Amino acid sequence: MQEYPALPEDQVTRYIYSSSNFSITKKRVKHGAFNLDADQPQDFSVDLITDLADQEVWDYQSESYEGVRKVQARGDLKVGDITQVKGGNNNFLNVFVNGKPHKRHANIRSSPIAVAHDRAIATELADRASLHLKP
Amino acid sequence: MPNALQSIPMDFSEPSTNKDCHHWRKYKTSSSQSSSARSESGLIVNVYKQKFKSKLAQTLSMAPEQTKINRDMADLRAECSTLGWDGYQAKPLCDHSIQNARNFIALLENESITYPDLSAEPNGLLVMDWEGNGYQIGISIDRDECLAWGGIYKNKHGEYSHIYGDSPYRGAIPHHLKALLLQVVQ
Repeated sequence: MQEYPALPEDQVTRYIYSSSNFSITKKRVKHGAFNLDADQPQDFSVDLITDLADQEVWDYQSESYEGVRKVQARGDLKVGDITQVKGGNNNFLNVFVNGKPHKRHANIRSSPIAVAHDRAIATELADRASLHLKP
Repeated sequence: MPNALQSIPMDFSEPSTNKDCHHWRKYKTSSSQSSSARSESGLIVNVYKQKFKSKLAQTLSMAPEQTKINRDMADLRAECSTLGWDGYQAKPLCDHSIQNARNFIALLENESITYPDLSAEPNGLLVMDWEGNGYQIGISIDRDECLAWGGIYKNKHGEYSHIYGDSPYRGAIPHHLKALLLQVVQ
């Protein structure tokens, strides 16, 4: 499948497997959930959940991420919000759907950045995300 | 970070200075002889009691925050100690980063800066987080003593600015970072 840019009205989610990456009391996602992947510094894995009902989003996770740690929460974001965030080299972030390794897999893409800048971007993404706890 | 309880004066043995010893001897030798001496010694004991109560109150008021920090560090260490703890490719939380954060937090005792919340990043860093007045700032110190801060300022119109930078950590809070943290917490 050829990757293609997601639409501004699309919704993506980041599944959260560690309680250290969200706060129940503050009802928010923490920046640790949105730091760039250590081994692919310019791509950050999310899943496209446009047109899925809440339970279907959880069902998709259990089907696609079998064997991964128990999911605890997720952070949902509108693609239009992500593309307003400035990444490396002052370029705005982009979202590309590639369907690999899961059919709804997508990447938030940024130019390479340093740790401190990554934290700033992750903090903005986390602040824009809405937290959904696993029922 | 020093244990808060270590600072409580628990020793009620004889005072050690010559001056104090003089009073103490007086108490020991004359307590059964003179009511004025008894009242003087009572005064000394009362002063010590007051000092103890005041120190204890001060310590107890600090203890919950310090206890919370210690508990949060232990929780994070347990939660984030394995490869892939975040369900993706996260590195285990680095011990150097934990120890450096501990040292940094100890410096806050002398500043008007509240204790941070703690979180972990997939790069293995323990992050100290502060939030307030539109700011969200995270600070970490890695194994190479690189102090890195990053976060956002969100104005009342909901517009974001990024704040970030790094510098070598030399065992003190850099002035510009102290000023930033004061802006966040005051």
